[in-house]
Amino acid sequence: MLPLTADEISVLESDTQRIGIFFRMATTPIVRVWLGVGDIRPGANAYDVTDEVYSGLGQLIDVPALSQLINGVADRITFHVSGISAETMNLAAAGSNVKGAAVAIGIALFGAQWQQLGPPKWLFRGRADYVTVQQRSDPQGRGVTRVMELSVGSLFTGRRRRGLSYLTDADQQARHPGDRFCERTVLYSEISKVWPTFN
Amino acid sequence: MALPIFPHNLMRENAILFELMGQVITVGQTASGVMPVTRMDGGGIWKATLSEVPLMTADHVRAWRAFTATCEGGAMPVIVEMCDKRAGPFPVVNGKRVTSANVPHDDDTPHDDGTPYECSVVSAIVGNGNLRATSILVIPTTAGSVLRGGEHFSIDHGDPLRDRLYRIASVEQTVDGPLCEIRPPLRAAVGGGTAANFDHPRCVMRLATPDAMDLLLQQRKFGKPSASFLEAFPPYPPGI
Repeated sequence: MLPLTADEISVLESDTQRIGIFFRMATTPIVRVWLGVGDIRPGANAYDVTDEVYSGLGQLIDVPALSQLINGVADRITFHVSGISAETMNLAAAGSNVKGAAVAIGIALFGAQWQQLGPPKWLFRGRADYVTVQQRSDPQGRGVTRVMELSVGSLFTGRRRRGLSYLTDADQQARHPGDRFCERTVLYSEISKVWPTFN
Repeated sequence: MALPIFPHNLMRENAILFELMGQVITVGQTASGVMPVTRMDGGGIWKATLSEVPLMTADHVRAWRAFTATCEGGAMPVIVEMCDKRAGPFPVVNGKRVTSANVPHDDDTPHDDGTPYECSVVSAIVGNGNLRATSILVIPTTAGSVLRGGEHFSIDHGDPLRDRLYRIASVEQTVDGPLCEIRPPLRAAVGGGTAANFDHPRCVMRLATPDAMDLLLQQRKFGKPSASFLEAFPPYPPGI
């Protein structure tokens, strides 16, 4: 259950909200950005033991809709990050350092005077996979925008684009070589387990 | 390195716009008639438009072109001053607003070109403020300066942020002085006694688009171009 203070609940119940969206990627150094303008210190939270600075302004163009595992198919989501700053371009250039890095997306709620009401609540945890850089020309010919795209998978995202994950020994060995948990699942293929009836 | 300053004294725009630009999303009207609105920009970013700047002489044209080249299509941060003498907290002396103070030498003589020394009219300091604070003491120390709300001032936060512009939303008189609600939230923490610039509030900005200062010359002599800027944030290119 997401721990929310009474003030935060009140904000969510109102018809106007001020929300900060935070993005954290556990590379070296750790990338901390948020969708707002300027820097912010959101305070110690589940991922940051000390009060760290989250950079703002254009570092994160958008955050796609997030969803978790449904019926064995997990989303792979793509973040679009501005390529203007040297910081983000260096990140794109060192794409091999991104793979496997833990990614967290969270929100924090603000009051009417932009006072932060509580620490960031981390809603999504994933793993960074690969980085691509795109160059988009302005249709009116006013220049070129370079955008970095970061693909992030969740815990349930497999390397296959679609299809279910099976609890067979072959699949388990592919995921975790040497793990014997699913070794005997084939023995149950001919068995129908009937749920007991309790009278 | 000092940032280039837009030469607003040389090139005075016909219309000026300085506003905070925000990012707001809405899901539309719900069945109950409510229209939820969500802001995600953390307070907004400054945008400025200087419209129809008359370039009537060759010097004007050269100055405009030189500054355009300096802006590097938006890659170079520059200082843009907000000229708002009419609305600033300038004192009234003998029924006239005093918006500039020109001081000659002690023998009342100016410089060789006839210009005196120029100094600020409104001296003001701010109280302690944390990063992203929206409520701060702003204390004008010039006699006759009264804050009402709607004034602009800037604070030099030092490297790397430098000058940042703020707008006073409301003023509450307290025992410690005027407590002002400001927007956007403070870009950096400030210590008590930091100077607030009301005479020439300024902001570090960059061209909004690479063609935001395009010059169309008429009869190869005259022009009325406009310039659009967006607030710029570090990191800046090396050497700045």
